[in-house]
Amino acid sequence: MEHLPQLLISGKELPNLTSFNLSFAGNNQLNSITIKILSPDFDENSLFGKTIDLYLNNGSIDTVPIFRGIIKEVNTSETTVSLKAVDVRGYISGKDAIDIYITDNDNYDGFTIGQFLRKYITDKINISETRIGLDFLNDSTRTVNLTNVRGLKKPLPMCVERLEESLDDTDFDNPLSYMIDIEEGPLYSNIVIKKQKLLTEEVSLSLSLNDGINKYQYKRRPVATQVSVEDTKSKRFYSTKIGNSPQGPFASNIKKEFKDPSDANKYAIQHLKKLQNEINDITVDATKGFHTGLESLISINVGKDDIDGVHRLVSKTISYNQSNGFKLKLSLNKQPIKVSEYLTPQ
Amino acid sequence: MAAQPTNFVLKVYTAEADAIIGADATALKIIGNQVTATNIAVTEIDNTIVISGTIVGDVTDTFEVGDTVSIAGSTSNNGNHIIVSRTDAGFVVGTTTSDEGTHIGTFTFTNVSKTRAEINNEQQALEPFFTHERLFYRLESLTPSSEFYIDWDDGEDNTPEKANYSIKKFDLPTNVAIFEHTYTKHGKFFPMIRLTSPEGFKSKLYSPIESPRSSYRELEADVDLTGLVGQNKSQLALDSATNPRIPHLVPSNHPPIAILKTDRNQIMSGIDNSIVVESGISEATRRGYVYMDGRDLGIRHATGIDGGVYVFEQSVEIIYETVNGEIVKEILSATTACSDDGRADPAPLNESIFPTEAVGAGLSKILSVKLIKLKENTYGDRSTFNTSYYNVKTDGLYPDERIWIRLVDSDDVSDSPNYHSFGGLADSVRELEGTTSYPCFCYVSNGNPYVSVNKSGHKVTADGSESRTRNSNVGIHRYYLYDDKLRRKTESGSAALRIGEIDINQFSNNYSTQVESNINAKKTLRYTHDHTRGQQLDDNQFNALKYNNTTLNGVGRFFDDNRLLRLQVEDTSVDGGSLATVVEPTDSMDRSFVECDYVDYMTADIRPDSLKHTSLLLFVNSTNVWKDLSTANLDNSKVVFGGDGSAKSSTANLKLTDIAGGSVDNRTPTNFLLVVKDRKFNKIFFRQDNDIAMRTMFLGGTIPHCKLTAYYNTPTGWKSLPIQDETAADYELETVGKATSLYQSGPVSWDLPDDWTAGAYNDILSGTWNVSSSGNDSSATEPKDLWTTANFPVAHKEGGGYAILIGIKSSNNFATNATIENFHTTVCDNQHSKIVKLVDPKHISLNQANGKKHMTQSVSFTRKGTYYQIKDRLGTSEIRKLGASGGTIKFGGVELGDGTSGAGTLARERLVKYQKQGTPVYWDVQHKNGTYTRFFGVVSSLSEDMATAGMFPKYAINMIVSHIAEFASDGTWTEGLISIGGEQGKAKSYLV
Repeated sequence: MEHLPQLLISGKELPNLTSFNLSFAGNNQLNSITIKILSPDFDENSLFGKTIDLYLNNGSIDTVPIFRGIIKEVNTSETTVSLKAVDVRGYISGKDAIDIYITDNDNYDGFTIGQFLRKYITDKINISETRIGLDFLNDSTRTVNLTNVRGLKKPLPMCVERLEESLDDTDFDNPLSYMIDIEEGPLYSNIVIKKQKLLTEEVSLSLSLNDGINKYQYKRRPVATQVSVEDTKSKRFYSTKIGNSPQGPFASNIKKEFKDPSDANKYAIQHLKKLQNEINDITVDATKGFHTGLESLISINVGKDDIDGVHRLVSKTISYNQSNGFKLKLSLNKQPIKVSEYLTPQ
Repeated sequence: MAAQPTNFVLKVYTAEADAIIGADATALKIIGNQVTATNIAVTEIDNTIVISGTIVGDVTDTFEVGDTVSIAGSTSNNGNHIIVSRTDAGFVVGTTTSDEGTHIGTFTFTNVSKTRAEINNEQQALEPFFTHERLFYRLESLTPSSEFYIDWDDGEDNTPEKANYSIKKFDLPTNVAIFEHTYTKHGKFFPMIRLTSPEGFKSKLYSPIESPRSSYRELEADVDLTGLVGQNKSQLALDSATNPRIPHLVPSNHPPIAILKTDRNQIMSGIDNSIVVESGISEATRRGYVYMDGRDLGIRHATGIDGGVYVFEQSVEIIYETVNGEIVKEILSATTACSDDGRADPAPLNESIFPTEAVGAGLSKILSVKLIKLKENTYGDRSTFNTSYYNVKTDGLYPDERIWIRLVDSDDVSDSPNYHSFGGLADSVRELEGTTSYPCFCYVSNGNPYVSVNKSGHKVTADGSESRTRNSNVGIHRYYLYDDKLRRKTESGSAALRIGEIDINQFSNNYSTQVESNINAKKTLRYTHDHTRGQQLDDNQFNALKYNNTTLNGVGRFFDDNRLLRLQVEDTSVDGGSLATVVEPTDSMDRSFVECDYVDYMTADIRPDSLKHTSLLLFVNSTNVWKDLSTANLDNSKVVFGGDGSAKSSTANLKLTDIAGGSVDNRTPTNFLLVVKDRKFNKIFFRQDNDIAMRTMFLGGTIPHCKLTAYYNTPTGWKSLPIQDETAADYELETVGKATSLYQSGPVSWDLPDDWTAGAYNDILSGTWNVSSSGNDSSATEPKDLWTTANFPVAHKEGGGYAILIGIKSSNNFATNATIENFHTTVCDNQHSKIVKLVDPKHISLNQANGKKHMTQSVSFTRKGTYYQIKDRLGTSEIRKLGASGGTIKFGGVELGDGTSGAGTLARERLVKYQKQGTPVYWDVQHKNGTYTRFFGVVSSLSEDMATAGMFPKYAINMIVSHIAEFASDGTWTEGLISIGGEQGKAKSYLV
């Protein structure tokens, strides 16, 4: 018995699904799906804010959806309707998320990121129903709090910004960053804080040309050995270098506020080590690993010394149409560029 | 004895409103300084005071060695005593005044040295104290203050830069500030508080009396305040020991979350070596046995040739590992022999059993099996020994025959080492539940000539590495993966029947010894189909003929089966050991949630709503005695429902009772399964291990018919629910029709109804059900006893239980070898469960008579590799091979017949069926030098041309090729399975 992807809108199955493109963009960006339906009349339904559940059912019946989201955009032509949905982090991120105004009298001092998310989502989002699950919510291993954060903020970007400032440098040579992600549960999507794994930890998926890889490509870059740092508070400039520069004097730049030169130096070294761990961009068209989560470790074996080994999964896309079935594209290693980095803030 | 935090300046509440009011009675309790008991025994000679009876409080929590305990209620030992040692049951004190013996009364033991100002969950009678729960902290000031500061002690350290603190500022000075805080770490926390006067003067920092130096050393590097020494020189002051006002906090651990992923959701049947340990056969006598099933299937007759034994000589190459670790390759014969057939010559088992005597060790695991003679025999071959029967050739396999590699015990074989007979392998005792168990490692056939433990697509890797702990200073300690093989032993061979135990101190059931703990997050699993486990063959054979040259049904591929993998994880807050974070006696939730069928987790201990859950799994048949299935559902040796009414703990109240005559289509169910949970759910997995003989679906007569119907609860009655039933065979069968529910393991799923309403049993038509019955007082485990507002409180979650009532219509369930048996029924729509589909890798032959002779179009295919060229300016180039391409073959035929039903051949119809169902097929092409190429794949398209003027209609087939095998005219092959485009370098192997 073959199984087809199952799309539910507000709990009702939509039988005329023709294609979708599901993106797990990574780097704290929202997961999104674009769905094409051959039924222009479908636009007559009340759609905005409705929930979408997608079960991939690729091989067997999925126990939980691979994606849950909320419809944010509807495009209709004479023959088709195209829906765009983002995951439930869309309630606390994006231009139509509600801002919070943090003052000296009304603030989140003493709240870690996990504690803040719990309070904010409970008080402001999950009012009449659970929109964002908190069942799996954890906290960063290195405590990051919102003390002294003030101003008009979007909840999720504020948390991401604070997390990005705090790498876990327990292993000084391998600083690890955090991301806020989604994990699907029985009834709703749960928000979680994920820490990168050390590449020495157990891999989640092994791919080789004999098993799992259809096509691959990779991009290599010279290894940066220097960082130029601009302290936006003191307007001072520093430069930090690690080792020699066998591939040439390539550098990276940082603009940020620091307490003192030592603080800037420490941050620069962490930043540089992180960059040096993310040299190659690898893209794999894979035939297995559809459910592997972001930041999981994936072992590649394609007979190329440059890329054979263990890498982090930083983003993935799954596409489906009726004629070609499923396609899975995995991006490994380098964190994807955020769309916002290309755009001027609105 | 837990005490109210009287006179405390920092009190903890679960509700903000209570925190504003600030009553001591509603605040979370502290340990305090008292224990009471109703029994006391004092022995003067060793100065022991033993308490028993009803003890309120905890001696080890309340007292420490060196403290002074004041006793009241004793006849002669009242007053103060210095504690030398203590346990939960009593004290050893410096001196007792008299040997007063044992008394019953009211005895009070008060710690006059200190009052334990610890708040933990164990002390609470009403409200829980857990991490990840919002709590409200009331900080009081004797004089109005303009700023209240509290450092929660859950930052990196207590320096202002790294501390996690909250400040409340007030324009108008006040005596009270309410803070909200949620701990997301596990451990002991020693908050520090500080006030600022209206004039701007800041107080010292104050911390609980038991604050260790590590909790403030960043602030006071030079001063150790332990014992209140040096407080006058410090910016920090510790609280009073005897009259504390600041508690320290020990919230209980919030359990971890298990998240299970698999690299693939569908695998093909492969080599399952787990049967070796499970069988219980000793290492020295473990053997493999190469068994051919043609006679079982009815392809060959029991007396067709040479005394009924068919031996396919030198037919398989097996690479295996012995218990000593040697890797051995042997070429063995396959045989249908299983016992002494009474011939003058004994059955030739010695060429089919391995390791052979020369190897000298038992079998540990099979690494690969290869059918080395691929030439396919043609149905209808005649015997030279016995001309009465057909299908007797022994130089190859018939299209639907398989060679099975079974596990046997050499001690069961007579005349060792020559293995003359094998009394225990006859069909009647081959069932797993029989006295002798000879399960199968794997099988090969013409349609599936090679299996290996290393072959991708035949194994699934279960990965729990995305599981997470809730508290940031706690990690995952161990993984418990249930593989759904219904094992009754651990991997090390110890008997272990139960997969879980109820443990009300945990979030849910504990996976127990049958499910081994593992420090690795990943595990690779392999499964196989097996006739002896009740798995049934489908009717997709092309044109099988039996020994008398008549049509033979039901010898095709195995129906798809499913397995439900489940994961539980344990975090490093596990009691004891160097891994553990701080644990109080009832702080024992270190295991993640797994679905279970108990109501006890609703009321047990003091736990937050987020850690309460309640579920039921009940069954009733026509005896009208409802049974609670929760315990049997944890046991791999007991049927949950079904069975024959006696074996495997089946009873008259558990077996499926048949409908009262007629068809299952037009009768009401007599069996009902009730599943109630405190949340909506949309999938239930049924794990079947039926005692149904092979080919039962095709044998006619009284075979079990079974169909499922489903209902959901609403206030206006049970309403019917459309379900997707994956436990039923894919298509309609000639004998049993579509009544094949529960013939295989799989999920039953549905869409969540809009009007599904949470409630109790009596919220359905006031308790008078329109379908089945809520009970008739024949047992204490009826829906009206268990699905109550006590077990499904209105205040819990959405106010009651969501129920699914599965009606099971059954008939003919108790014929010989025809019993439907369910071993686990599990709600599986969660992140810790994963369904893996098991598919038969066997391809169906397209070569046989009714098919191939009507293939009138030429067969075309292209072999194509992928290359790239490095060209130079002079036109020469270096060519490198990148790999090989897949491809297709095309062929076609004509449709015969005269328009009359039953006339002509069924070739087109069968090919259309294969195209519709995506059945894996193979097709042999013979080359002019006598060699063959066998194409394996699926019929992706079939185009039909209905010609005019009475010409025969034609059809053309496009077959996607997954791989090919090339073999000589005698069927021998040397290369492995390769793509149609060629070889792709050396394949990995255990032994070339």
